[in-house]
Amino acid sequence: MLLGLLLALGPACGNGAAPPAPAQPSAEATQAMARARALFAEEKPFEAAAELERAAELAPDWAEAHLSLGKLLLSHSDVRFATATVDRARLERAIEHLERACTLAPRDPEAAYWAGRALAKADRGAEASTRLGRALELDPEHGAARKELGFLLAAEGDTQGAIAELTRARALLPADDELLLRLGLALEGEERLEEARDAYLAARAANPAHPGPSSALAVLYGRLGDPAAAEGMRAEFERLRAFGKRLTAALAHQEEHSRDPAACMALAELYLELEAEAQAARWAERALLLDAQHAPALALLRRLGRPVPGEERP
Amino acid sequence: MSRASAVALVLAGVLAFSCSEGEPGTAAPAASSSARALPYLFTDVTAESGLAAFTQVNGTPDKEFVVESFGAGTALFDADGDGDLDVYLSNGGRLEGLAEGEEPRDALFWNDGKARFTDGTAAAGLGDPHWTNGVRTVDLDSDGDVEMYLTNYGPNVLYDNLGGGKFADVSAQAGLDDREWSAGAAFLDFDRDGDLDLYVGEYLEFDEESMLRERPRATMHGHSQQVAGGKRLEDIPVMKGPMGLEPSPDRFFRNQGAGRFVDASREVGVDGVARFSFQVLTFDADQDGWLDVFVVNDVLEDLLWRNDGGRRFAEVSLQSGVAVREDGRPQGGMGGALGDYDGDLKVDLFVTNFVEDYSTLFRGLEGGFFRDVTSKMGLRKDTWLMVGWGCGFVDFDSDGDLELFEINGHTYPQVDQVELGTSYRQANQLWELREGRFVVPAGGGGPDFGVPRAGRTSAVGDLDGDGDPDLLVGNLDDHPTLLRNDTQGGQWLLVRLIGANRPGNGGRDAIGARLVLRVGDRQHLRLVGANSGFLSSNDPREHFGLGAATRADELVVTWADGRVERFTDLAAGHLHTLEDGGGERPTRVTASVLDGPR
Repeated sequence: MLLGLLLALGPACGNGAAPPAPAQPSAEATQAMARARALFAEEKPFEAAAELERAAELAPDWAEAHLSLGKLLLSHSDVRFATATVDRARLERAIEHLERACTLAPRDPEAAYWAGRALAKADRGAEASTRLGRALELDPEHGAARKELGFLLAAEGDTQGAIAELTRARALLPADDELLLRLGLALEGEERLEEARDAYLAARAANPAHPGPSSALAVLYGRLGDPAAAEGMRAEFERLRAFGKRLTAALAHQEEHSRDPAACMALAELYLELEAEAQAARWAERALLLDAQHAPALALLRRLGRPVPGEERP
Repeated sequence: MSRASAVALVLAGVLAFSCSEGEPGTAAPAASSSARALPYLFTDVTAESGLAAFTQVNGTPDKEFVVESFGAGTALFDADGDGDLDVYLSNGGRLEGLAEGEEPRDALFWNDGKARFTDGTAAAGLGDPHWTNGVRTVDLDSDGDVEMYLTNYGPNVLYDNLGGGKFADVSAQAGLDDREWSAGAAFLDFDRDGDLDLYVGEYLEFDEESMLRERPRATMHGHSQQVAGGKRLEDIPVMKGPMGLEPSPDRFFRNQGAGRFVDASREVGVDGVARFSFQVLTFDADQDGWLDVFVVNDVLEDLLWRNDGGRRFAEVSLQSGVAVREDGRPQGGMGGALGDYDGDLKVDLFVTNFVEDYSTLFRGLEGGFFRDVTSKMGLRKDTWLMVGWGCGFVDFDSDGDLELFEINGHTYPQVDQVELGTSYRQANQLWELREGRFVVPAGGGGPDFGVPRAGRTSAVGDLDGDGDPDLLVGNLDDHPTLLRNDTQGGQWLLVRLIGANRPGNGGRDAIGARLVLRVGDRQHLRLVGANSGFLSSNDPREHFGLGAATRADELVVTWADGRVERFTDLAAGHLHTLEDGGGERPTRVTASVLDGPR
């Protein structure tokens, strides 16, 4: 999510939709925004948030400042208090800024999407649904909004609605592991077992490190009368369980050394053990954000045939 | 006509109990008229009951050590054989000790039949000083008196009921003075040899000496994060554990007869898996006729041990669908409950979990599979910010549908210092089935039900003898809460099974028997001795709500050894006691009227 957020700290306009008519921010506000981007790129999110706060104060009608700040606060509302938890105060502040962005840029699907996402996290389902619906109204091809709406419907127990939204989202985000898993779960909830199996298998292919597809398949294969395949999935889950312990340790190390590209690369290499190339590539890209010349990251992306920043693809 | 109906007919007419306040036998203040109108009403009668005299002590107020955080179990059982439920309240301790004479001790309270209690601890020869987590009651020697097994931080204790309300510690002779840190426990006739074996859920390896010396606190993985108001989470230390400490493998004790047990953990295959175990439940998950064991675990995957013909256990939780939540992630499990909320005669499972996660409802499917239906059933959002412990499927309003309850309370008192949307003291929760989903009923069970406390354990049973189930809640560092069920409910009946002394029959308590009561076109499933809740023991009598019906059409009893018996035309308002004839002689059925408050 952090990488996506960093990339999204750019202008707040959505795919294909007309950008909102922006209020003209002062030079001071624009400078604060620029500083925020630089700080975020340096893995200093709280300092970046302070600059964004300043930008929003200096230009209170600047939608981009509110949207960027809201997104940053939302992503950093996940905190740890011995275990994972949510800083509700920070989440509420995120919602305030994202709602403000929606007001200032009523035709911006990104603002509506992020507001919907924050509201969903705050368990304000009806409001979230309205915002996500608005994002899709503005941009029917907004895959992330459709996915989020599908997740929301599933969490509220509307499996048929979830299937409809997640199926459409799948066409837009065909390799999204979490989407595919949730689609499989919803399909299984409607006893569409073969379709569920196919969705789980696609989720597993999209992210071989995700334990969800293998745990779901371990049950589903049994229900489909294939105990050998079920046992295979159980064994795979056990392998992923062991992998998860190493992953947790590597993530903790990376959090402690968040500006060290080598810590990112340790995660990339870990994912490669499971042939989770997309996840490995993301960590390599993150390493390159910290050090554009980081040789192991460049080498990995080239090896995986992924685009390397500054290099043209053959 | 069945024997049951014949006996029932000679008794006095069916009594309909109104259970309203101010009736003889209760001293509770009158509920307001608005409270009376609630669909579910529980009245806190702790003070009048005499149970407020007991205070549970669990370490320091700041909860510096994980051992201080889960509270001590309770048990509802007929300790003196007078026909009503007495109350055993276990107690905790303090790692650094207390002055002589101030050590917390367990207590036994005698019931006068109307939920007024007097302390009978000394007279019973009890007053256990151990730091207790769980209490399992069972007629272990099938002599008609109920024994008590305490799972402790420290050596476990087995109290033999000598009769007449006297107990004696027989742990060492029995070989059950397990010295691991134990939490849950369940008795079952694993090998069907006619006596009850014991599964003990162990929690973790706790090196008390180094803990006291180093006083380690939980870390936030070293990264700097702030919360609103500028307070840093790193500045708020909380207890260390269970994460960062070593889980313990559970243990299995085989009953050798003559009151002797041996550790057979390796022999049956449970020694190789270490988890942070809490509640242990027993039921025949795959319907193969052998009782299986489900273990709710903190942090790590839950366990379902399939009983392979009384020889070995095989761990099948993942392929059965109960190891993790639907997206493959393990949960911080605490308590567990078994029931059949949808009336399809397949056992469903509810597991209470840690905060920022949901308590999970697993629906039983064909073939011994389960499916996480928490979202679909409406429970995800309600339970997300709660730390759940005790729980149960209970028909509190006797309408034939099972309600679901959860007892809540956070583990960290420090959570009140920051804005995380949750709190240390939390309200209990009640849900009823409405249009296929669990929803909070109007009033949520009444004002007394939802008072925020550091709730932990739960025990369900008819304490005041009026036939409906009451709820006893154990609270950390506090007195228990006795919530008398004052719901204006439907008709009911209670069933008590007395097992025959024969192989595979689950002992005198008939552990593992399955009851299906048919009332019109509805069927209600109950599992005897399944052990729902959190580290406590419920009323051994099974309660059925009949709604408006004054009789049940049929009761089908599947004894643990597989024999099936049918009894027809059972009258409402009675306790039906079925004494197993063992197949060689007829099962004796008696129907008796309770004499609690009307």
